[in-house]
Amino acid sequence: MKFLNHLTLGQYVPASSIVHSIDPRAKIISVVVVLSGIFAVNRIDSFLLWAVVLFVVVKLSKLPLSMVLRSARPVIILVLFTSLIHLFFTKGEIIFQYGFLTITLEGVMMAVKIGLRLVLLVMYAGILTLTTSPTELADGLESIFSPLKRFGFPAHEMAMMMTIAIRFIPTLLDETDRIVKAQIARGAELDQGGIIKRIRSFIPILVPLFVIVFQRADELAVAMESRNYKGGEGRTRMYPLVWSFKESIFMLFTILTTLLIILLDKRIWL
Amino acid sequence: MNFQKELIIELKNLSFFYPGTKRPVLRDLDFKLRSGEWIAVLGANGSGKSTLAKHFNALLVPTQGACFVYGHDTKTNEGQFLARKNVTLVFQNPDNQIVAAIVEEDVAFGPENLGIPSVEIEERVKKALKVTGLYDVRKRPTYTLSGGQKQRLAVAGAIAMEPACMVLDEATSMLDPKGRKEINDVLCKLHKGGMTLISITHRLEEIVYCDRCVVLSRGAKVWEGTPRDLLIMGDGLLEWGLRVPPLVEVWGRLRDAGLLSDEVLPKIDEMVDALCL
Amino acid sequence: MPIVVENLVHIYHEGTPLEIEALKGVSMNATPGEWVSIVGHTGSGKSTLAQHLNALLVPTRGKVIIDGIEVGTDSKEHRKIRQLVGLIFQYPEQQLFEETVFAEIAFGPRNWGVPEGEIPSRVSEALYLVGLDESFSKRSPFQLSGGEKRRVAIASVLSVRPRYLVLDEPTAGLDSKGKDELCALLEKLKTSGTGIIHVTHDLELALDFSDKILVLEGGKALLWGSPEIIVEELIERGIEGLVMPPVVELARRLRDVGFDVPVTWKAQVLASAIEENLQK
Repeated sequence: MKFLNHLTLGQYVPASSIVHSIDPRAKIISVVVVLSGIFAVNRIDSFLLWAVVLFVVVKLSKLPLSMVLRSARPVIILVLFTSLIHLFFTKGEIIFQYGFLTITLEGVMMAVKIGLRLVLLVMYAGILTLTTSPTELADGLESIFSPLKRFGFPAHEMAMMMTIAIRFIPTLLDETDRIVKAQIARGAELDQGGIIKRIRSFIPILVPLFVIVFQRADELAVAMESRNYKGGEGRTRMYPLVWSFKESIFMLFTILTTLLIILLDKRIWL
Repeated sequence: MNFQKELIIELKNLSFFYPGTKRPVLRDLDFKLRSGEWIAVLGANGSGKSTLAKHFNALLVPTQGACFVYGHDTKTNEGQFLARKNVTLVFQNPDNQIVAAIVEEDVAFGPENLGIPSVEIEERVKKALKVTGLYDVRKRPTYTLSGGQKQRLAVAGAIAMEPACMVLDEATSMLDPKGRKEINDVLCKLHKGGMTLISITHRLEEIVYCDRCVVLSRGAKVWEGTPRDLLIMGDGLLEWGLRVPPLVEVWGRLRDAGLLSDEVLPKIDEMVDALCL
Repeated sequence: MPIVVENLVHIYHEGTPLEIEALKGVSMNATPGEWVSIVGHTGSGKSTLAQHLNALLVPTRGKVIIDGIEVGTDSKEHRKIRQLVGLIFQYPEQQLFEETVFAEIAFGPRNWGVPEGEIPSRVSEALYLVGLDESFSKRSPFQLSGGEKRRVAIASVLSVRPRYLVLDEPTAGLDSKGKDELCALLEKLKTSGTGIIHVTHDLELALDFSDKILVLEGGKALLWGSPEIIVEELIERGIEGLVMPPVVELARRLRDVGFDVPVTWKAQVLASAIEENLQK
């Protein structure tokens, strides 16, 4: 059954919004700018400002807020873990003590900030992948890195690999599910015994998966060749990337917002 | 000018060996395909029919003999270019020929490779999506499609290249009856619109709409003729690993009893009409 | 001791926005020595049902009882169920992984703790059943032809000597000769007392071989009964969305225009009936 597929729901959600329609290059560069902006600030109120900006972007993208919030779910364990470490291991004014566990005021602040920072980073990246199709994303990256082509950097090949990888993730998850179940049905026990036995017990899953992946890759290569694929040279695009006035304005806004939040954070004018 | 009869593909004494092997996969094949025809290539598993499919658009080239597309040998650069441009293939496993994650982007893949201008790609994609009935799902991720939809997507990707001829290599064998019917309906529609088609299959149910059948057995052409003449052979087809479907069995019995005339094909509509007279 | 499925409901991701009700209250049963087919389109829930019979999935509601053991009550019992019910997935040749055919076929029996001394005879028996000779046992499964791989994969389940065999679309990708041989094997197993549960989208094939057929659509049981009952229902009611076997469709159309032909899926029966009708 296709239940593993739903793991990838954090991917592209088509809609006709201003955020969807912006050139992927502008979006990718903006996300990089915003991510550095989030790293550059250190006050809770600055993080809240970033959250407000995020909220506005989500509204503009016409995506349900819950969907963007959910995009942070895969990293929630990481966030909790990192926050907890800071909560217990930051030195400062002790506000709570139990045995060897001490919580300091600084620790609480640190934990909240780290948590907010990580969640914001993931959600901004999430907005990018939710509003940009994998092909657009790949085209954008290819175009951004294409100046490096003259130094031999395989920008087109990287982009094509990315597109295909994203395309095949759901298929391979289904495949894995089927092989795991088939071997369990043959009596394989995947979670029994010591470490060596457990590693060995994955052979019946890994070998068939490798075979399947190679076979698929082989057939896909033939299919691509028969559809006249000969690399990036001479290819055109159905939706060519267009950097218009809209994109310039969008970039300008991104940079100004980022600078403003950083300046506010550093209290430069005080 | 007789446009209908233009020669698209011609095989001359074509034989094929995989490098390093001695037994030929294809032996001494002769065969002609003219514009507007729908041909079925039939054979059991291992008869060489998929290997033959790959010759039609120069994915493979003959070891001996030759394959001509529009009069050009596919061994030459010119021939290879013409073959790739004019003959498109749809393969058996729909999952292994979809390149892009979004439906319309996948249809655009072929035309993009051909270097077609953007505006024209958009038009072609729209047309191909409409013919295959996928226009409403054009923005959907490809993995959410059903088997029949995925295979129709592969067909859309092939016709967006606006080929002279489309080759379907066991394109329905992984589908359920609903998916098969979807594909066959699309093919009938394309054929009516003038598209030249080659269906490669072992299912005799699918040949009644074709103009001509070629039977392969162990790499050699053992028979060529109309679907009716082939289906009349009944159990004689078992020799080539082909099984007559039950409906054709009924049709054969009724023909033998003199209840159906020569023109009636084993299609339900035609049979009911003929029996009612 | 039979397999009994009662009002089986299966919901994936219950309580989340991704909730999908794959089975909506399905009942069926099967005994050893019987051939039962589960027929439906992709997405009808037939594979979900099949996975319950092997305790790979447990019911959300309702019951699945395999020879008196209920699926889902005690997960320790699930291994017992899996030993009783062999499950062969679609394209089983893709699960092969061992270095030799022998090891591949021995994988199941070894997992279930069959004594090492008994293994060679189990392997020979399974090879014989699927029609491969002893010389195959030393070969690598990856160097076999597609059809041979399929046989080895089936042998690797038969070597456990399951009381029931559940097969998900076992004829997919086979040509008519391969199909005939596989059906003959399943008939042989059935006669020797194995229960065959055949999951397929091919209603024609199911009608030819089954004792009982369950037709699923959208997670619901549309029809359940002997092939005769199924065909009668199909002709009387005509099921929306189900592609009819062409012979049944022809019989239905001829009855509509006044022919006195029986409800049947058998070519010979229909042909004789039409001849009689026209001679009158």
